[in-house]
Amino acid sequence: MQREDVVVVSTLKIIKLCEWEKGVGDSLVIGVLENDQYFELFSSSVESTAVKELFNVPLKVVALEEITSVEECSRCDVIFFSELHNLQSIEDAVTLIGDSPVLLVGSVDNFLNGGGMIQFQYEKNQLSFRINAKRGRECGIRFRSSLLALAKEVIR
Amino acid sequence: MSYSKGYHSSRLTRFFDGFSFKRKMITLIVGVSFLVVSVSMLGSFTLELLYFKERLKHEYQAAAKMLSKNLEAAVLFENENDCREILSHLVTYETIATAGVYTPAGELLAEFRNPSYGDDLPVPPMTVSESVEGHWILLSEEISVDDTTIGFLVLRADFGELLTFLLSRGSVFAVILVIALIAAASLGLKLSKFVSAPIVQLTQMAKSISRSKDFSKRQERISKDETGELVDAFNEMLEEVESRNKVISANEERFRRYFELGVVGMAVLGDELRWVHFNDKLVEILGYRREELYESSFFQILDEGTKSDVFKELHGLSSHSNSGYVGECWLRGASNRNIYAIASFKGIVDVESGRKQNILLLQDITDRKRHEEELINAKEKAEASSQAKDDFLSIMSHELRTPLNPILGFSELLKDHLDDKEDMECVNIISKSANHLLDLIGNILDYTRIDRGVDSIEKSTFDCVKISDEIVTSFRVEAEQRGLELTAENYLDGRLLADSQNIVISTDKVKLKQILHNIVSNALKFTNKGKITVIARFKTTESPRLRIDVKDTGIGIKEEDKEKVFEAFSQVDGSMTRNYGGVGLGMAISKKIVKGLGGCIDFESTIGVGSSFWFELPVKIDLVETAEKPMSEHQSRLIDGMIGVGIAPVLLVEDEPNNRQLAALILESRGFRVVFAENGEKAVSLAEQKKFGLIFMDLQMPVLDGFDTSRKIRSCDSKNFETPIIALTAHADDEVQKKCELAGMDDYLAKPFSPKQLVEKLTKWTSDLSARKLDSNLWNTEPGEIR
Repeated sequence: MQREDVVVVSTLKIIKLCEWEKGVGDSLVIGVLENDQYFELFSSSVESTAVKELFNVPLKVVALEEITSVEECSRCDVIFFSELHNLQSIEDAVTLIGDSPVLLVGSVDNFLNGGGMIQFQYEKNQLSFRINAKRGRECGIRFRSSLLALAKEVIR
Repeated sequence: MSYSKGYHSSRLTRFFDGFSFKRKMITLIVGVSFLVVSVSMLGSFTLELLYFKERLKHEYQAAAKMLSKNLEAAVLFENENDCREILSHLVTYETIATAGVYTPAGELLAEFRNPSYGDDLPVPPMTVSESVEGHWILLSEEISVDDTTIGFLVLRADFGELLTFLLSRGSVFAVILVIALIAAASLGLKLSKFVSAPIVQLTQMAKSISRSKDFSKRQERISKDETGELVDAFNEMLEEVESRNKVISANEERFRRYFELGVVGMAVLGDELRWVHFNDKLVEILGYRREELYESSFFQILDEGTKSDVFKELHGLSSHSNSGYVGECWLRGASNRNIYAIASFKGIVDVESGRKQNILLLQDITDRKRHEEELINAKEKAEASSQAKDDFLSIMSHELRTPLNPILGFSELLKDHLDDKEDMECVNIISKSANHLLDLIGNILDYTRIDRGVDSIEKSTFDCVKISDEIVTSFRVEAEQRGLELTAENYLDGRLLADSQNIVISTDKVKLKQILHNIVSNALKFTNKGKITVIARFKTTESPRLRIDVKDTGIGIKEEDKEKVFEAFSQVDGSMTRNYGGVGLGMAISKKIVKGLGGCIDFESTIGVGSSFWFELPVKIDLVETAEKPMSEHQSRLIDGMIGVGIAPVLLVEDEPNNRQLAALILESRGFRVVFAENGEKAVSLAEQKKFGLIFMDLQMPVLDGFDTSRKIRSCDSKNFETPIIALTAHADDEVQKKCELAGMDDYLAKPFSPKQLVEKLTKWTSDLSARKLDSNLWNTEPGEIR
């Protein structure tokens, strides 16, 4: 399995251990940049039986052209930021999103500092993640204790 | 111990029944204690065990649930290390031996082993439900996220703690039970002593009384509860028994004295009527020695003649029946002495043996029996003597009357043929003397019959006025000859009776006539001038009665002589018999007859003025209006004296030639044709051949008497079975009249009879003969038979 696959599966499992205070709609929408390779990975993963059995609500993956409008961001429950995004653009997007209940997951360095909520990183060929629980709380998203227990670093 | 019918005792009950009261109480208390403690302890233990087990299970379940929550992320990310690390926290639970985390597919993700249980213990297998293996309990807890099962946590926990719990609680239970039982037994022992002591004492007292028969003992009351009441009741019962014993003893003593001092022989007889007890009187009656009696039985002294009867009566005698047997029997006493005794038997049951016995009362009535036999003999002799007297009177009556019949009859007939005055006077004297003699005989016979009580009362209904008129009429000629006025008056409830009215009364007609005849005859006898009045008074109000007064203006009776009037064979003084005739029986007979009819008789008299004799009888009275019957043609012919003309011949059955001759003269003088028969046999023979208009039948005849002759004539095949038969006899009593009636005779004429009396009978029975259709053969009589 490629690293990207592991990240996608881990992202989906983390999503499972997160709770939106205001709930999600009929489906849980994951936004990924259109030209990103992760789009394809997410799209194929949510179609798998294992993922469908895991989630109570259907998962939907949408392609985001640019994160420039609030309307486009607000229709997503999760936005995944791959390494293709630079930190500046991430910060702009976070600013744009504001306190909307959108889980921001990314594999970009200093993603948590840029306003992200869950940041993946490989260390010694092992995938780990960090959680900004404070930012999540501000946006109305809670993380399960068992998830927090697994996180390498939790910003409370 | 016996149980009432329908009571089914179990073996346990029967076993328990055999216990003493004390043992029963202890067993009961210990049993109840055991039951209560066991039930309560077991209940408590069961509840505690269930609670403990549940609590243990909940504890394991809570641990599993908590752990499964912690395992969510680790299982979700399939992180075995994290899973293992989380499971390692189970080490704090001493009783959780192993645990395993499985994926939904059953793949073991991580496991845990408690070091205290060693490494041999296997990890619990994948299971989705709770199960028990030996002392292990396997608990499975689902690991899920948002209702999505991502794995299972399976724990193996030890129930050994439960066993420890069981052992500890069991020990405590046993100890408590033992203590409780010991306490109960101790309490039961004390309580039973307390409760049973009075009962035990009472039982001992009862046994003591039963042995000693001393009912004066009393049990002391030692408690105030029900046992105390039981003691009181027992003492009251003893008092009652003692009191009854005294009464029984007194009765027994009294009866023993009665028994010993009894005026009759008394005995108790056992089986086969053997002597069991007897008193001195019985020994005295029978004359045997006591030893001899004890070796014999009542049957052995019974006379053979009465043995079977007595045995039969005694055999059916029930010991429970109130009835007994009383009989007279002959017994054989000592020295073969015959004893006649009244033996009274009564069946009883011997209280001690339950065997049937008999009480015998024996009264020696040998002397009485002998006296009775003597009396019976004397009575029989007296009766024979009386019968002989009756026979004598009957014969005398017959024999005296028989010769008087021709004397009177021929005297009367002579009067019709004599013209000479002196001859007529002589015939009158003969006639008067004969009549006097006849009255005398009649009175003596009547008095004798009444005195002996053989004269019976025959009530009939008849016209009383006619009777008094008849009496007056019968004496009127004599009264007129003596210049006396003789009249009759009849009153009904104080009013004079009209000629068209007759009074029908019910009493003895013959005796009424006799009384009236005697009184009027007496009045006529002692009245020389003046008048005699017969007054009959019928009283219908209240109790109906007839009173007849006969008043005369005769010589009267002195005050001192009044008491002699109704005495037999007595006249006021001896000169009267000479002057007036008679033997003084008439009034005595009248008094006896009146008394026999339930009435009373008396008189008032003044010397030189006259007497009034009266009698009163209770009678039934009916007033009847009658029209005077015109005299029949035949009655007219009676007056003319030729009533026999045109009538069938009369059969005269008479053995006495003089009587035959007299009757023939009278009958032929009245126009009758007469056929004679000297005895009954000839009469029967004649009656079979010819039809007669009337038959006169003498009763006492040779060959065949008048009764049998009448019976034969009355047989159906006789031509004269309907012909009136009139008895002619000198036997002048009621009994003979009845016999005549039974033999089929229609009327009766006593000898001696006057021509007038004979004609009256002829008139009575031939009044309708002329109307009869007579067989022409009747007139065809053989020569010599008809005179």
